[in-house]
Amino acid sequence: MNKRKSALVGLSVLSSLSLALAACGGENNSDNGPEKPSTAAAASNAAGADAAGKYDPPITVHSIRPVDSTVTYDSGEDISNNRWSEYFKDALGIDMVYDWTTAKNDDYVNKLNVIIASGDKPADIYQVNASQLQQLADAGVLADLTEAFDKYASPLTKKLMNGDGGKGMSSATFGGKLLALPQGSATITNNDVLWIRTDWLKNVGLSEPKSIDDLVKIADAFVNQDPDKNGKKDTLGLGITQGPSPSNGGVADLGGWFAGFKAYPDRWVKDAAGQAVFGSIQPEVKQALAKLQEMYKSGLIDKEWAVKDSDKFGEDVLTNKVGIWYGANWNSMYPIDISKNKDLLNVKPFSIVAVDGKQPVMQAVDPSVNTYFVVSKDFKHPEAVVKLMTAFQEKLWGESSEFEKYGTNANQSVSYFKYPLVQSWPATKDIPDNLDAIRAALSSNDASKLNSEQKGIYTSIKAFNDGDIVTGYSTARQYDAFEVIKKDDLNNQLFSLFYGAPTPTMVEKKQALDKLEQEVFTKIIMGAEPVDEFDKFVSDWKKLGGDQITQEVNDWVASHK
Amino acid sequence: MRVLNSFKRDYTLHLMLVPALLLVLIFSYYPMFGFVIAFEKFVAHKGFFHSQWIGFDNFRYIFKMPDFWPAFRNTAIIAILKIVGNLIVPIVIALLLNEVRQTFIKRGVQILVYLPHFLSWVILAGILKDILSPSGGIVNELISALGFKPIFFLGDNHWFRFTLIASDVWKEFGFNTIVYTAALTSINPSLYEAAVVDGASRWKQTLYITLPGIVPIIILLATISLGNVLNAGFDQVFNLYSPVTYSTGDILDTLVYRVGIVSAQYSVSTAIGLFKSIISFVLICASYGLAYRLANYRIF
Repeated sequence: MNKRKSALVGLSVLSSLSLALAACGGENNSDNGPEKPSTAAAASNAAGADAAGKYDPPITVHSIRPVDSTVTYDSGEDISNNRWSEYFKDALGIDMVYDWTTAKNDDYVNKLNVIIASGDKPADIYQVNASQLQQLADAGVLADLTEAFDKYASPLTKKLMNGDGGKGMSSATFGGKLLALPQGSATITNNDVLWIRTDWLKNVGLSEPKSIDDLVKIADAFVNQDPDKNGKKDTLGLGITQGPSPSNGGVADLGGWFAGFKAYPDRWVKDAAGQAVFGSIQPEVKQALAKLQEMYKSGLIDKEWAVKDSDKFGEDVLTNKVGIWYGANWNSMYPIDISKNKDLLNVKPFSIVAVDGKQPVMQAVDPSVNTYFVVSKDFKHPEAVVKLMTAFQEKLWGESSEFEKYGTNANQSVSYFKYPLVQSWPATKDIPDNLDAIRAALSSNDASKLNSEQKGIYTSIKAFNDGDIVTGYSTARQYDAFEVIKKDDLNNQLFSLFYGAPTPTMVEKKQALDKLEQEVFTKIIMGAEPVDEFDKFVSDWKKLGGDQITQEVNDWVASHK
Repeated sequence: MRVLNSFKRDYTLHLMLVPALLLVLIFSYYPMFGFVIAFEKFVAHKGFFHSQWIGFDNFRYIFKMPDFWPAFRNTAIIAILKIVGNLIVPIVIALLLNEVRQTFIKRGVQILVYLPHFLSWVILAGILKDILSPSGGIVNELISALGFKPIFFLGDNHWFRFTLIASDVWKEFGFNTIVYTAALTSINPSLYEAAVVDGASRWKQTLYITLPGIVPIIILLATISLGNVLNAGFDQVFNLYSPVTYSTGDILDTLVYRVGIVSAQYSVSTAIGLFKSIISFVLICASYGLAYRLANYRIF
């Protein structure tokens, strides 16, 4: 899916890259020339000191954003006029104006890249990714939010923004200055579970896997013992999608599999000497790849996996071809689509397994933040972004929260929380907060203590338990997956050591190294190269810039202790 | 004076040319100044005029990139074979169609083979993945029925380039077929009548009248397509390749995409693009010279 999207973007951008750059270059000196003296400090004092303080007269904030198709509305609302924009106007005196929006996040990133490349000011407040943040910080065009955050952030916001142990805030701090607000999210929900069709398990007379050996046995039975009982040998073993994605949090990725060998590709882990090393080049990865090659050779992995993206893989799931794969908690919504195949009701999440048979298996979590909110240096009210953040979190999780008005509607079909641009989520919201609250409510049959977000989830799971499969399946199974993750991982997480913006050598060399990794992993799994090719990959990786990246990462880690 | 007079006479025609000329200037020539960043260590916020000038360092860098020369080789191989395929197949089809008597069959076939030209590679890639699948794809069902082992066209480096070339020829040959068919109609029918009187068979007629009749067009199209020697087709390759087939399928354009768009190294990707453009420009000049000599084709 993603690949196709980026294909389109790539096409249009390839053909217009030089054009856009040239065109933007022409405007370079029009309105954003030498740095203007900042009036920010003077203005912020005039604007009332407490977080709820209202701007009078109201201020206009120019912004830009992606608005993808998952943003839906009740009738009469749109991205510029909705309950949140009303609230911001009434309570804060802030009028958000979107100068432009894109329908896809990829488009937004590319368009913003071009604007940044041209040296223009994108907007007053806008969102950026980690490498854009680094570029803008280097360019010195961002407002310092340190003081504004201290002064205007509510205690709740201060608590939630540091809920990840301060990693996000620290990644947004450059030389002691807070230059952005990170969009926090729960990293633990990225962890993989094993999705298995339990009806197939029953048909082949096996129970849930406790080790990699069990998993191989199941894959073997799923291929050779006609698990769907249709008399044809038309089923596949362990599902993998093209790439392969060696880290967790996707569809049919390999993060969970590698974790079972204590291998953590694409993450930065500690070696015996306490240095940060790149997970993809550790010897454990070789073992994991060797096992996959063995499975591939004996037909336990789809011969065509290397050309199947998640959409194609999804077709295999929906047409009863594949019954076991690693994936994130939301795999119950995609690729599974219960309305298209009711038999998928039997797909359930299980704990991932290790080669030594020990459980629980530790997964590596990437704590890096993907989205930040920044303020242009010449914008007069840098504290507005803090006020917006505070208002967002207060209205959803504070004492005056109104989730049913500002979160989602009753059956979760419209997500109001997507309307505000500036937002950040508590790290513990899904696991364990919502999970525990809902489990307690389900066992006591008392939903009165739930907040409105939880009530919606409670209703879905209850509907599922009462037999309304189509309404309730995705949420119910997602919460089953949360349960598995909580049990296995809540006290058992390994954080990737590096979560900053790409280092200079990464910017230059990472794409070539990523390509090398994908190519070698793919070829080894498919048996096109012997497993020992991995050793050559390790030395190539180091030679082609990997050593330099490792050095930079260690410097970064040392400076972020 | 003569030029001026003719200009006065035809000025309305020249006026009509202005919009097109403007568009070309704005969209084709003006952006060319962007190539300047290939010689700079381009830093976004400093812009074109203040980024550090580093001369040919970017070019030295790309020639040392491990991915560059394999991509260059793949590009040249794929593009040249596509040019050859797209030259021969349409000629053969056009000659065959020329022998068809019934106009409605002739027209029908022409339209049918022309249709794939209008499909985008994004769509075709999805279709190809299905019909070329080694398990259950229709092509491999046929191959198995004939007693051979199924072939993994999109996942096997021995077959991947062939698949790219064959699918591209299949998609595009209809267009050139129409050009050749048009050329065939311009051959004077009295030549054929004379040949029949002299007792020439259909084959001899094809060999001595039809083929020589369209040789100028063949030479023209062949030399003009020389300019495409480094255009292996980004959208096709990007939608069909995967890590398994990087070693035979990665081309300069996909490399530019990964360097420039994915990892935002504008200077380096522009340098690769510029390198490609210069080679193409030289080849176009050469092919124009050849076209002038061999087919007496000239623009200026």
